[in-house]
Amino acid sequence: MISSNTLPLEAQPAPILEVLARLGAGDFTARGEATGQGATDDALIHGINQLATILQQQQATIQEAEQRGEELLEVMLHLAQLDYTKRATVTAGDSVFDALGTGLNMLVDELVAGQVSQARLQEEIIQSQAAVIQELSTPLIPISNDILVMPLIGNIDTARA
Amino acid sequence: MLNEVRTPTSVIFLDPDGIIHTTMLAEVEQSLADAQETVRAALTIWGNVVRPALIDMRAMKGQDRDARQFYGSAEVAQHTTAVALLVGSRVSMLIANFFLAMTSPLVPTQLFTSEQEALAWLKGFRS
Repeated sequence: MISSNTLPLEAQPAPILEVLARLGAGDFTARGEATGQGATDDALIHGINQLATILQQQQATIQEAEQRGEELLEVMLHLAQLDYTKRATVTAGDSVFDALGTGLNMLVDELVAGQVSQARLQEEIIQSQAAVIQELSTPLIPISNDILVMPLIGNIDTARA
Repeated sequence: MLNEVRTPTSVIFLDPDGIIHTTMLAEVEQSLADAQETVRAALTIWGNVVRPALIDMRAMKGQDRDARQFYGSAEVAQHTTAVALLVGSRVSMLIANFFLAMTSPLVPTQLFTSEQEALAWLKGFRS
């Protein structure tokens, strides 16, 4: 009788090939079960399962990285629309994404602060211009179609003339 | 006299060389209120002396803008001769660099990744 330990791969029991096929197709949840038909079979299944676990972990890491990248991109898109309400998620870890998120959030804070102070400055400028206009505004007294009388207040320089 | 005080976000102690050590606790994201509490607590052991300060930010997670502005203010700077920012993680490195760029510190302030080097530098600023 021939032991399964000595069989070529194509002659191995179908379940192992099925697991390998699923792994090859990107389904890293696939696992084989020890058959108890031989030490080599069981060692092979154990090895395949370990490999599948590693692949599954790597897949999860990649998916998480993609998801966090998308989140950061979304914050940046909001920024591009001058919407500063969105903040990046920063986890307890110290990944590149945490650092990028921290940096992005701090930049948003600075942009918001800059915007607030700019608005305040603009408001002050408008108020002081209004005060100057109010000060310079004078009554006009029409005498005829071609003549009017107006009081001139302050120094008349080339700019005011 | 007390030589160590704690706040919910930091631990502060005065070493025998007269250097104030402030360690920001892990996972902490400091707000302005946290920063004010840290400085208030530090002043209880500070004494009436201007001292160099070591800020260990290695485990820190975040700091809001108001807290950053407060640490960089004249109100805090009046008590220090120099500040060494101890960084390690990517996040702490970012926070510290932001602090330096955005607040233009009023006293000599430098980033370190080695505590030993930071302390050696600070010893040159003892009053």
